[in-house]
Amino acid sequence: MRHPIILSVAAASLALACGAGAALAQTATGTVQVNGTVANRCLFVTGDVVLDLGELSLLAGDSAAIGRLDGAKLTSRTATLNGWCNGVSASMAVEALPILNTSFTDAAPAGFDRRVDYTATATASPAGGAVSASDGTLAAGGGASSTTGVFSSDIVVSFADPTTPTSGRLVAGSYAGSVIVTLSPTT
Amino acid sequence: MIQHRTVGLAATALAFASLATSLAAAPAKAQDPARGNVGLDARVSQVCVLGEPNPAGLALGQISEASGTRMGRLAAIAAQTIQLPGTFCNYGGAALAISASPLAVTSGAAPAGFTGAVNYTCSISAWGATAATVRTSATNAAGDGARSTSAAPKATDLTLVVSDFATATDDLLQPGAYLALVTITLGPDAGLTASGS
Repeated sequence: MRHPIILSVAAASLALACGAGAALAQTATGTVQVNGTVANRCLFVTGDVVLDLGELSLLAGDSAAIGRLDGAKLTSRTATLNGWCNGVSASMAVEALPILNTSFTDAAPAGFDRRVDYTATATASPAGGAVSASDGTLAAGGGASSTTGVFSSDIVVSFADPTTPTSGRLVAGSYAGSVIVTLSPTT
Repeated sequence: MIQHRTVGLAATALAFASLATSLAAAPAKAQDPARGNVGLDARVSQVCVLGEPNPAGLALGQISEASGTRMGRLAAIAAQTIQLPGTFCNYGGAALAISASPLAVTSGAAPAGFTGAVNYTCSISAWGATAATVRTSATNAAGDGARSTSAAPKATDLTLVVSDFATATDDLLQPGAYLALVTITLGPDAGLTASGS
């Protein structure tokens, strides 16, 4: 009589133990997926620079040269923009506009010019090496674009090949031109 | 209860997944190109250059008649020209002016019946619409004449014509050396202070 009672208790304990073990085995894992995007972008940090070239004509020296274009006034200067692009296919292009006399707008008389043409080159510095884009003012419209990829650097604009249409003397007055540098996020 | 929660999380995860799918289907729009601008300001000052006179002077030699009825009086002197090549002003409104003094004996006063001054006309026609001229005379002490103004910038070769030599009274010429000075000025119409002469 005594033994069955003991067995009965043992069986009850075992049943309780089994019940507790089943609850621990049911751990579940949930996953939260977080997605986002970064758009292709380009921005100028320094995007507007004005170069004052000063006197554009030669005022001394050979009398045959006096009054004609002093090209060094342009080629000796650079302008430094700063910008960045975050996409691998980003590109840079340049459009140069001629330097024109803004105070004398008639056609230049014989022997004179009121326009200065030039080539502008913008150079950015991605990690992989400098990338340049150029445009000349002799042909209307912008120049071909160059792929910069991801970069954040100064963009140095330099000038070359200054000429006037007839190699004449420059009409007196105020002159203005501009160089537009375009950073495109995607080509 | 536990199982119910697990099912709930699974549903949420699916919702994220579908959101991610929709985002992938419509990628973030690329920005417009960025533009930087380099402005170029410059100027060209007003300048005039008067070409170097060629010849630099006129040597007329003997100007009195050496024989004949007019012996001792002024001989006929042909018109003389002096070139001023490469003259220009790079702005409109520049004026050309000539001042001249009579061809005068350099020493001594002329006795009665003699004269020591020969008058002449200077003219430059290529600058403005009208010629710049001056006629020397005893009454035009300053020697100023009519200016010539070009409305537009101009580059040209100028020719100074010196002509019509004559004495005031056709008297006999006093002996000696004679000298005259012609000054050509090119510059701003008001004042003619700039440029060479």
